[in-house]
Amino acid sequence: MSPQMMKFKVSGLVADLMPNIRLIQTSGHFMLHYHADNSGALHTLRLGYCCAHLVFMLLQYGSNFVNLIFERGDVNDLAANTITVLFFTHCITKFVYFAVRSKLFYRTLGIWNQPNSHPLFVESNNRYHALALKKMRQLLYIIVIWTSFSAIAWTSITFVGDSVHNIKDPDNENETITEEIPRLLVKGWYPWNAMSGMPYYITLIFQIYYVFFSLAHANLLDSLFCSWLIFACEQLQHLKEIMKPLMELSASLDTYVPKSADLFRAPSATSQDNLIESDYNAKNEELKGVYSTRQELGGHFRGGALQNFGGGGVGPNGLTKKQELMVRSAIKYWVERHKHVVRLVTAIGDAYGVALLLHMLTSTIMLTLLAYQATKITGVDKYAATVLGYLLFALAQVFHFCIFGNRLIEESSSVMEAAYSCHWYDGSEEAKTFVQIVCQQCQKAMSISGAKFFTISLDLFASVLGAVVTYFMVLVQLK
Amino acid sequence: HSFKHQNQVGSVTLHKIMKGIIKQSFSINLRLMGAFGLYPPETSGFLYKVQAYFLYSAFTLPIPILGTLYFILDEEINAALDGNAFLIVEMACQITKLFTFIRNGDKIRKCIHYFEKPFFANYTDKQKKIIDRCSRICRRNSIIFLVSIIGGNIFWATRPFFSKEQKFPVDVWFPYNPMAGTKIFYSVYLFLVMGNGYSSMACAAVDPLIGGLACLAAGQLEVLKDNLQHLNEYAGKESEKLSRTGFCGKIKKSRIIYSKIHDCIDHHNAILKFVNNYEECFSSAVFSQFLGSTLVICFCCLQLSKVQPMSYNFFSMISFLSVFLAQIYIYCYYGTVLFEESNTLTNAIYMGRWYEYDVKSRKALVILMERSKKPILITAGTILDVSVGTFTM
Repeated sequence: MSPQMMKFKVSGLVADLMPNIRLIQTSGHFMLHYHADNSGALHTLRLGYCCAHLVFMLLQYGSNFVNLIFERGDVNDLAANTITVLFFTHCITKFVYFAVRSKLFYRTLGIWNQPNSHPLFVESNNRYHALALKKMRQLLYIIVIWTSFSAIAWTSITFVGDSVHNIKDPDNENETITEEIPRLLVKGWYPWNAMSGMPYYITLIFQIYYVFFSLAHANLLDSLFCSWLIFACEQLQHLKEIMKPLMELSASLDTYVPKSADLFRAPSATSQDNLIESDYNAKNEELKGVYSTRQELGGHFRGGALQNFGGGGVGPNGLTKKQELMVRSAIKYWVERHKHVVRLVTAIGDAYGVALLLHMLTSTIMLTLLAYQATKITGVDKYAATVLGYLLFALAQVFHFCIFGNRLIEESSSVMEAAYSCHWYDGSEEAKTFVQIVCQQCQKAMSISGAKFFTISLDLFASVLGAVVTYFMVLVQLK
Repeated sequence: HSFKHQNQVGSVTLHKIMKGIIKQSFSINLRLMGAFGLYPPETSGFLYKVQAYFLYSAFTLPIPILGTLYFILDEEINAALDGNAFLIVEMACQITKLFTFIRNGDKIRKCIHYFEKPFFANYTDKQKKIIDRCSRICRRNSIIFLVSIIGGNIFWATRPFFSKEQKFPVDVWFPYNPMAGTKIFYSVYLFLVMGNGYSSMACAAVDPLIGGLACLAAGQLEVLKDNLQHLNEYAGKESEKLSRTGFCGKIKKSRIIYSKIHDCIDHHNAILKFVNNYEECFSSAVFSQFLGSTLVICFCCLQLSKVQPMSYNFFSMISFLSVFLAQIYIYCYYGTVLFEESNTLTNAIYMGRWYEYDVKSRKALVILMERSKKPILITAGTILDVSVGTFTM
């Protein structure tokens, strides 16, 4: 190992999302950070790789567009070609968007590099972190499998059925005849004759590459966005879980009215059971240490119960100095962690909001046209399969990010319920005002908005689906 | 509190800077509006009102009325819709819009100069950047608007010269035949152009002003948020300053924090009062603009569907359409900005180090947060919200 090759350390979100990042880099997005060796030559090489992808994508997209203009005479062809062009507009938009705004993405990926920690809550933190990691991997597998399946399905359906299109009969103005066109995945205009032979195979391979990589570009970025949301949701779950032990930590004894029999009983382990739930104790070994100090100070406890503050080191809440410090530090950890999550969600919204807006704009137009195309389905044939394929893919893309946006909204608004359901009435005055401020903040759920035009939630998906069905019904009636 | 006096000493110098903020942001708009009689000077006499009413009735009223007459009296409705309808509707909605300005001139003037009160003059250097940014945005918007409206006017006025026959840019009804002589033709033409110019330039002055005032209010909210988020640091700096000047009697940091929260709440109230004033003054103007714009956009789209693509007509329709869309977009955008800023007030409080304040300050903050739960929503005519959602709708 040469001494120059320092160990490339990653932390935080980058470490968790390394497979996603590697896939994104392989597919040609302009993500040039996060490499072990970023020297000049390799950097230029990688930049060249990304630019090559960009050039190929734009060339094929341009060829689609030119074909659209040539075939605009026939309404059916116009509709079909517009749908194809819009479909690949998504992919180009996401590609260019990432290249232009990669700084925001790097910032979001780097936000979780230095999270705070507290000895009491480490175990819970690690458990939810592992859960988030597992879910992110699962999502990545599903996305990769789905993308490959779509590309393979597209390729195989090309070889089914006739590869023709209708043009006007040059002899008779009113009739149309069928003319053969090359059997390719997407209809494009090429300056060479791609009917058969070597040019045909090269064009075919180029188109297979184009379709596969375009789908990969769009879907991988969406899955990066959703992975971020998964992480934020799991952090919120962690915060909800530690709310209860935090309140119990600050349970003051002047609000705890003991049964009169307890006052005369000798201190023993069982008398502490009123404060702690048994199943919680089984989970958290560290807390036992805290409570055992209370056991030691059993005598002081009695004093506190009778409002006797003469005893040494017992503060106004009935807690010792050490306990008060512990409570304050735990509250500080909770609040700072929550603020960190809020900052993460804001950064995600800034980075990806505009991309979602553009996606929804193109999707709306494309789905309207697809509804029109769907009214022309006459039977189970290649046409029906392609239309349904486009429809399902577009709806699945929208569903993908809507469902995770919805989960974020639900998780963030349930933090308030968690704050209320813990035994806050046992806590000190400070802890109670803490709960109050947290409730105020969490009443407004954290959500991702598409550049303030709309919120990403399942409502959005339902309205899109409803709109498509309405258009379809209306158009069928009009036929 | 005795340490408040220290604040006053510092704020007197800032006082002079504050007065210029309105002039800085809206100089072009106010000068244009003053020339058209829409913005009364400090001491407006009766003569000024007369002048304003005269200009208004001479230029704004005739064209829509004559145009509607032409539309009613002409037999072929379809031809009449062609190319004229949108302009007539646009000028008709200007009637109500500009009327509010002339009638409530004084109230509107007070509203515009609200932010020059000495109360708003207390801010740090960092916050000054926020306010400067807002006034820069206002100026930029006014300039863009003015330039595009002037361009649009020139486009529109020279459009008939491209057509084969001799006709006016907008068909109106006259009690006599205006084609009778070249002198009459050109004087009528000039009158039409001047009328249209008056109302569109008035628009170009008024729309960025309304949007810009909302932008300034949003800037004030940002300053408030900055104060709330950094309560700890600013209070720490102040207590340092006090202990350095050897102020007798140890003022506890918690008292400083509490008095700062007090100031923030006053600031919040002042902003809310401004927004109330603003809505009262401009609500009807914005509402009539919305109504007019919806109809205008419909007519424009109808025209677009009938016209040949890629011809001169097509491009001119597209440019008109974009101008009308931009007109309501400027209201909606700044309405949304104000809404968003007020929504994130709670966030700003939460992002500070509130867990280190004492219980009394925390309870005051809770009440502030309770108030900010109801966001600042500007309505047009109490029916429509001025927000980007309405625009998409």
